[in-house]
Amino acid sequence: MRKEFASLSLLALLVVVIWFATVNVVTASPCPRIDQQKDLNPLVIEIMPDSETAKPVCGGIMTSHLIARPISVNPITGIDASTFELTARIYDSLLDGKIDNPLPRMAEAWQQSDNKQTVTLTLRKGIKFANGDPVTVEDVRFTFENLIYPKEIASSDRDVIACGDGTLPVIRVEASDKISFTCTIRTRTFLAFIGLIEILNKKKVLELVPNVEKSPKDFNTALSLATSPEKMRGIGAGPFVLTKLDPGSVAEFARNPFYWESDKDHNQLPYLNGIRILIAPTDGQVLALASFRNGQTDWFVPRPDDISLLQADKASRGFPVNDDINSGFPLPGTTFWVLSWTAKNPALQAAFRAKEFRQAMSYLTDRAAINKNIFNGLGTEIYWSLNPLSEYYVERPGQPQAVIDRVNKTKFSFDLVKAREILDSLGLKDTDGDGIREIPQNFQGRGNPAGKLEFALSTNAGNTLRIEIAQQIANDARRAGVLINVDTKDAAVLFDKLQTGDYEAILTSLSGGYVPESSANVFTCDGNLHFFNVICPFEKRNNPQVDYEKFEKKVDDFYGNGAVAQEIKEAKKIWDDAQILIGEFQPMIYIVQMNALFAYRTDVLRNHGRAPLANQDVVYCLNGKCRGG
Amino acid sequence: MGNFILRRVLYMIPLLWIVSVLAFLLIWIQPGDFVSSFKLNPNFSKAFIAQLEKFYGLDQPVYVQYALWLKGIVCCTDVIDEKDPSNPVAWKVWSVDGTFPFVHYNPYLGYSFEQRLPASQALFGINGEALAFTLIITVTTLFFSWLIAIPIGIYSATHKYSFADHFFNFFSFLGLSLPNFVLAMLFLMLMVSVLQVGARFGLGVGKLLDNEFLTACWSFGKAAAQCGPWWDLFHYNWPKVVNFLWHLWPPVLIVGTANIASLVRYMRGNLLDVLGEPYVQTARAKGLTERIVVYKHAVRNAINPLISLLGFWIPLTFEGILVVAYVLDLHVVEANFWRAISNEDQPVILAGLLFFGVILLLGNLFSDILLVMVDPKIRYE
Amino acid sequence: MNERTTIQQNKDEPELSLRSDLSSDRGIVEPVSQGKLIWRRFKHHKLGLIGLFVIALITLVVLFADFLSPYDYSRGHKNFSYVPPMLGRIHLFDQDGHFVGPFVYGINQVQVIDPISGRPRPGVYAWENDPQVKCPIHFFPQGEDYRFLGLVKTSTRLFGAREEGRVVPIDQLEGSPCQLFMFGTDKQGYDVYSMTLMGGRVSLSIGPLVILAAFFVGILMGGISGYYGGAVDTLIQRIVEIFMSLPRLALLLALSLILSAYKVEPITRYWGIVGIIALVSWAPLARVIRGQFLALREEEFVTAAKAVGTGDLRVILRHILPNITSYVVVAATLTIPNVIILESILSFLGFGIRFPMVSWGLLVQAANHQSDLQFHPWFLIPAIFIVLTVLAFNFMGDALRDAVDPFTVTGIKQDK
Repeated sequence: MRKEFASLSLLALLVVVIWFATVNVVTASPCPRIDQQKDLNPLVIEIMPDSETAKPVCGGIMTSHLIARPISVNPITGIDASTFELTARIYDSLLDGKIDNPLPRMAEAWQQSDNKQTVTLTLRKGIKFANGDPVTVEDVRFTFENLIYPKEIASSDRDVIACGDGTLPVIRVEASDKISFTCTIRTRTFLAFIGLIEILNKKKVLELVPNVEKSPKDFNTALSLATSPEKMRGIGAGPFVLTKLDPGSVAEFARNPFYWESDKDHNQLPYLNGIRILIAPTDGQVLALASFRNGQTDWFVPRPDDISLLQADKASRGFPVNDDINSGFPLPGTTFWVLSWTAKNPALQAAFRAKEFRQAMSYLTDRAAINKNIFNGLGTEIYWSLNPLSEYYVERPGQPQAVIDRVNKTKFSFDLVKAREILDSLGLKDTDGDGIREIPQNFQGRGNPAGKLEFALSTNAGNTLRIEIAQQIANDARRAGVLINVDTKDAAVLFDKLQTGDYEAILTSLSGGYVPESSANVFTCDGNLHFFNVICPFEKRNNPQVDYEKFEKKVDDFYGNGAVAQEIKEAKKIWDDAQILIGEFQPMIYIVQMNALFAYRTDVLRNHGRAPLANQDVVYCLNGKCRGG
Repeated sequence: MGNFILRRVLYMIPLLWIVSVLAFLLIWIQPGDFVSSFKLNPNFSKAFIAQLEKFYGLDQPVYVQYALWLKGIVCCTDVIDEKDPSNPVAWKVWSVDGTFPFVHYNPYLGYSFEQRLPASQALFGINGEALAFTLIITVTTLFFSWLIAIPIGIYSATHKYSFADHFFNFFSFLGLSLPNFVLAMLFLMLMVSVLQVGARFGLGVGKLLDNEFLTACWSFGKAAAQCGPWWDLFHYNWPKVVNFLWHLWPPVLIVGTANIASLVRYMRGNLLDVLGEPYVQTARAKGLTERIVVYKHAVRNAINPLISLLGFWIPLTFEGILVVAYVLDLHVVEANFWRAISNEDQPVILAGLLFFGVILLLGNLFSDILLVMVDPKIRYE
Repeated sequence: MNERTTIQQNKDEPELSLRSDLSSDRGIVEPVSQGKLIWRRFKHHKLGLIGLFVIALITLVVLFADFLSPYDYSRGHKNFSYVPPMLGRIHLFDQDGHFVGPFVYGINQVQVIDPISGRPRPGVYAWENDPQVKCPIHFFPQGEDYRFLGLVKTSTRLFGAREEGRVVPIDQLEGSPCQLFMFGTDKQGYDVYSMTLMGGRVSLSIGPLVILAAFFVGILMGGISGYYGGAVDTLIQRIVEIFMSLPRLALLLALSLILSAYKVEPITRYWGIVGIIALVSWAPLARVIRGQFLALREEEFVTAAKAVGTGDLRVILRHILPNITSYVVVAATLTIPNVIILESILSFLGFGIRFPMVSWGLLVQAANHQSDLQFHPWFLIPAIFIVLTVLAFNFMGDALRDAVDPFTVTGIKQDK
């Protein structure tokens, strides 16, 4: 009897379980509003044109995919794109970083002194961190002076906010809600770059890193993936709060109840209740596409090949995906491959330091074929250190012919014959008849042993496009007698190698690239990300002997002069020269910038234009329409 | 019986020891060492790295390094509380629970500098979920393949050269010849593009859990935001379990096909052999029904050789799971091991080799015990 | 196999020859060599014969792979990415229905037009036949250079499509619309057909090589262990046991890291992979061989040989080994498919063969993307080759086992 009862109740339980599992209980929560939030600088969130619903729909969770593992959740020391995918949601900045026309964010107003050397920012009234702590000027001061200024902290922010003379802006607390930054030699991007810095909650930082004021170095390793989201709650004032983080599988965010921003109808933002970012631990992109097509994710960055598949899905089975997956303009940033001047193999190091060798490698990079075959033509070939959309891009329309002529001399389009000629003339010849060139002993007087011209080109595991580009380069190089072995590494490992210079060649990309000043951390000798020559001793730089030392000096000068040029015309001239110089020396060999591609489910993200991804550091704009990505 | 098990377990110890030596040597002969990727990191002082090297015995001969590593697993680690004289707090911030890298808990399998996690967590998942998933998939696959294969094998043997026999025979050959990765790729395409399970039925494909369950509790605790213990069946998050079951069958099926294929063929061959034995003839001659002859006399003896092969299936299942995890992105130990391999993450590779060795030995032990239990012929003095 | 010893061996095992001859047609007892007996039984196994035929065919094809392929497998054709297989597009008759010999049309890439908007879809391309350009398939044309069988440098290939009425210099073939990609091309314009044939060289050769290496060790260890027994046996059995306690794929992956860490030539890497696969596969073989040795060492003919003072080595080589040859061959045939699959897994995961060498597993890796699988299903052709080969080896091995081991299956056949 008892047995029967037990089995019956078990059966009943099973039925209940299945019922629970199959019935989806969706509770749509209204957009809660915070009363004291008046019409303070209402930032209008552009709602994607949707004829049926002019009103926003609140609630829901958006799921997207990251193909590379983030390294940390530290907005100051983070350097990889995946980290910024997470931090962009947790932290907020003082201003929206537009160079000529900054928009208010945590700071609602700013004034410049008459001599333009001082800017004073006024904090938004009643603004709070995600745990309810009020944001004070002390938090701002602390973030700058204790987390960015100390040399021990590996931060690229320091390089971009530096004044024209290399010193850091002097900070003064003016009032309980006013803070000023002063530079004696002001850079043109002064205000915008200061506004770009994410502000951290001092109380929280001290809880996590109690000793940070005495030993700033500790902050480098703080806010790691292992830090519990509970402990981190309230560290930033961004639209979302990190609730769960498993670096191998998922990061989850909930809406920040104290977030300051609201739309024009006074609905507190963000609309979404949460964001879930899946982190693909193995071969990411394969399953990412399957998940998106299967309705498991709402937002997806496709490969160019996937577009036709998604369009076919839309046509054949009405899969709700946006029409404009291809945005039609290049992604921000630059994609390139770089040869380490500090490679461990002395023969390779000697070859990599020769600019002619790098020029030959640039000749071997078939950008047209890469664009056509790998990006299906949805990209722009790049030859210089800026994104083609940048107004400073050296090959912009309206350049005078004299400049164009100089520019074209550094445009190393694919040319197998020329590459072979250069390599031959350098004395890198195939002496043993195996089809691979050898580096002779004491190449260009660098005292190296002889060696084979064979090196590894590393790129992100799981990023199939980059792997394909690397393979394409390797194929062409082999026809010129250079053996390149493509290998793949996790993003974290790749960045470790990049930062320490312990690599031979790496294919990767950098974000930004619109404003030349923002790449100071890469090109200046003591920059935080000076990865092509991590050993750039100052004494050598200031007293250059060989051409690459002279190059470093010249680039440093360009960055010094370009940043302080107040007139845009003057700045453009300086940056033209800088790009031509960098183009001649090819520290990085630029490849192709793919178009921004993004696919999202139109039924889920019906009206979430920019809102779900609020506080993106990147906004794409075309014909007046802007979109976060 | 207890005596036999004890002796068998004792016998495993030297075997395990040798496996650990071999695994350690295998890692040792590779270029670089436990802290080499760490040395590159400019954030850490030379003094600290020297201390780390001392901790792992990297300045000493290989057998000392091995001894230190083994000590960490079976006994304890030298706890150095003041870590970096120049920078005592950095570790606390960087690590899980501020205990890295001289973790106090055992077994200490080393520290993954690539993933910034203890090697055991990097391999088994932070809460050991990957380990649980692997064991569940492995055991389910084994059960599933036996459950399917034995009846088919019996049927094929008793209906030799019938149409069904030829049919099963061909399919088991095909199952043997289809690599798991091809099956997994085809499965993904079938579910997503052809059947469209997501659009039509809202079912997820790939991984072991749907997104909304990834961080959900297995069982609910008393407080709202707290998870209960995994064994608390009364407060189980049953939708999550159901979801897991939905994601469980594809790897089980894909990994199972190859197993089933070879099991069917073994079972059929063995049973045919046994059916030709004189004692079966005798049983028939006594006038027993064919049913009793087959099931009571023949099948029992035909299964024995299969049980002795049980230990051998485990590495095969491991291979299958690794490949399927690669394609379907399963969060299992095998996938973590693969990632460690591709990042040359030495402590995790070492831990993985040891783990799979242990599993294999346990499998062999299990099959031996099982064999003794079902086959009275085998003596266990 | 030594003819005389095998006949002698049949005398040693009267049961074997008797049973086997019963299955022969005539039923007359006459001395037949064991090899012939096995072949006779093998012939009855149709699937086994098919397997043998398929293996022979594929072996021949991959042996002359470079001659049979119209392109250099290791060269991309950047202008021809994602060309679908042209095997089905070979025509024999022209538009008027006259027989003109095999030819294909020239191909050109066009942008796909959106059916709704009527505008070309950015980033979506297709390949079309160009009816204006006819490309007859030439036999023995000059193509890209290669070494025939790795020895003779030549540029003659078996076939290739060339433009009608225009001689295109070899170095400009890449620009011609006349191409013959039998199994299509991949993204960077590599000819899948040529790669598949060349990949077969690696995938097929790795099996026998591994078997050779593993058997050498296996026979040595198993033989010594089984023949001498005692302490030597115990020691070797423990070693075998340890090797069987090592997780196979985990070990393989870890070992392949060493190959990657020390930059080695592709050919060295190939031998390294043969070595490491052999290292993880010899143990089970040694165990089988030991069992055979154990059984045979008690047989009268071995005792007799020992009694007349034959040395150990001679007994092993002349008396025991020939008797286990057939078992070894069966075991080998059944191990080869495992090795092929293991290599393909290793290459698929990216730790096996690497470009510029190719293997079937490596080629299938390219298909591990959904749009590749759905829009470019020809990427799976190498997988078909894996399946076919493994299937053939399994069929053949099965048939061989039946033929070699008449105690089991043949015996039962007679009972029924």
